[in-house]
Amino acid sequence: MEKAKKISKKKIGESGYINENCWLVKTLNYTPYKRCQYCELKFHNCLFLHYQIISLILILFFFTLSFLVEGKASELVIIAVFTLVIVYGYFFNKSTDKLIQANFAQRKAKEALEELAETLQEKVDEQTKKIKDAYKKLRKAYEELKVLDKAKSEFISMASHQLRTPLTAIKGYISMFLEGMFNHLSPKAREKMENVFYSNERLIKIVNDLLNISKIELGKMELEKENVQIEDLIQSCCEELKIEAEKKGLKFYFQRPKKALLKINIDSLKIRQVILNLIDNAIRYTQKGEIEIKAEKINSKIQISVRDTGEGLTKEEKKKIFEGFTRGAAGITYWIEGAGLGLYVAKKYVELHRGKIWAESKGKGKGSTFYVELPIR
Amino acid sequence: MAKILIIEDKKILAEMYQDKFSQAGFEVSLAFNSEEGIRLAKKEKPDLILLDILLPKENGIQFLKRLKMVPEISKIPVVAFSNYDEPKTKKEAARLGVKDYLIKTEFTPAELVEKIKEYLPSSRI
Repeated sequence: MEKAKKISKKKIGESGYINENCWLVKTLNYTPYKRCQYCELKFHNCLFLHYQIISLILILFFFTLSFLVEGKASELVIIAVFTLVIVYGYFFNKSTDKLIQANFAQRKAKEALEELAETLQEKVDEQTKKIKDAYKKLRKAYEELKVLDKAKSEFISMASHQLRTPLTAIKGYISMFLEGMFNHLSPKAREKMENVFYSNERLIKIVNDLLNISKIELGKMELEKENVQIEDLIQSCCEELKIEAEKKGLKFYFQRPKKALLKINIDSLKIRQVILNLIDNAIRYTQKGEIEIKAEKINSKIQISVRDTGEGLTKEEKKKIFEGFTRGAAGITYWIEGAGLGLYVAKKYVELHRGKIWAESKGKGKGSTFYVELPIR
Repeated sequence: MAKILIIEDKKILAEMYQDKFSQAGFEVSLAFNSEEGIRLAKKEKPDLILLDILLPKENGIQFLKRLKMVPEISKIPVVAFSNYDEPKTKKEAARLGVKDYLIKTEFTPAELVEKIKEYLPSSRI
């Protein structure tokens, strides 16, 4: 089979070409007619054979007839028979030529197609190999990255636990100083101590954020869901931060929906943290004007919005605001100094609830509105 | 006067809480590891145990398991108090019957005292 294939590599019509379909060519390596090279017919249909046998039968038939009738082969009969065979041969040739030509064309087309398929296959194989190699490389890089990412998260988690112990000690002792447990503090010392206390609180918050992020990224964050009346949750957040807003002289109000909203199944602690974060940011970045908080049902979702008349956001900030760290030309930078990781954590929490969080702003100085959308079911 | 046992391996924190609880009128005993905790619990029979989770050798979870096996002290209420707040550990602790799982950085010592009072019978405060 291998050999035959190799031989047939010679193109049709070339010298040394062996037509596998012709029994004469194949077995005897004998080509009675040039067109036998092109013949596509199988053994029992061999035109050459038909011609030979039919001619022989004709000759034998007439010779026998002539012997039976006249006792010898007369010259007339001989001439008549051979003329018949030649005439027959002429018409036979003529009628079969067409057939063989058609077969030849078919054969040629088939070979061209096979050749094309072969080169195509080669190309496909080559491309497939390239793709497979590239995939392997990518897969390896991905695995490495995953390990690295996990190591990073575990490092942050561990480091944060380590950080929390000294932070607890600082918080504890400063609070005890402030309570006057060790000594009476002068008003100035008390003021400084309070600053230390709040700086430490901020540090604790950052560590908590880092810890939460690493938990989310390690897939260890779990939701403790319960049915919550969202207006009540927002109300309590507002009450907690109202003083801060009033200190800055801001108008601050929560527009409760006229009709009570449906209870939703959420992790109230985490959503509370999200809402607190949004309100806290609104207060921090608004110098004058108002902050309005709303909750309403839109289709099958509950939408919470926090609108302020503060600094507003540029287009770029709007995009990057929910990213933890962004890598700019100057390396790793926060989007706005002091905003920290709160919004990144908020986004992750909302996404864990299959919700959406986004910001809208008409531009710098024109205030901004933050939205949170949570599915009812 | 209520008796409280604090199991905490970080000396600076242990002493800080001891100061605060003593000032608030508690009788405080300190243990720096699980082993010592069991021994002191048997000896002092405290009204409540304040338990850190990340401890050397045996951690807080193992302490809770051991506590449950000693009948004379197994009924003492325990409040877990740690900076380690992995959900798995929290669940495990809840399963072993802790009254609460508090995160250290969220409380000043004074706030902790108030919180702990919630878990003590009123006659002991």
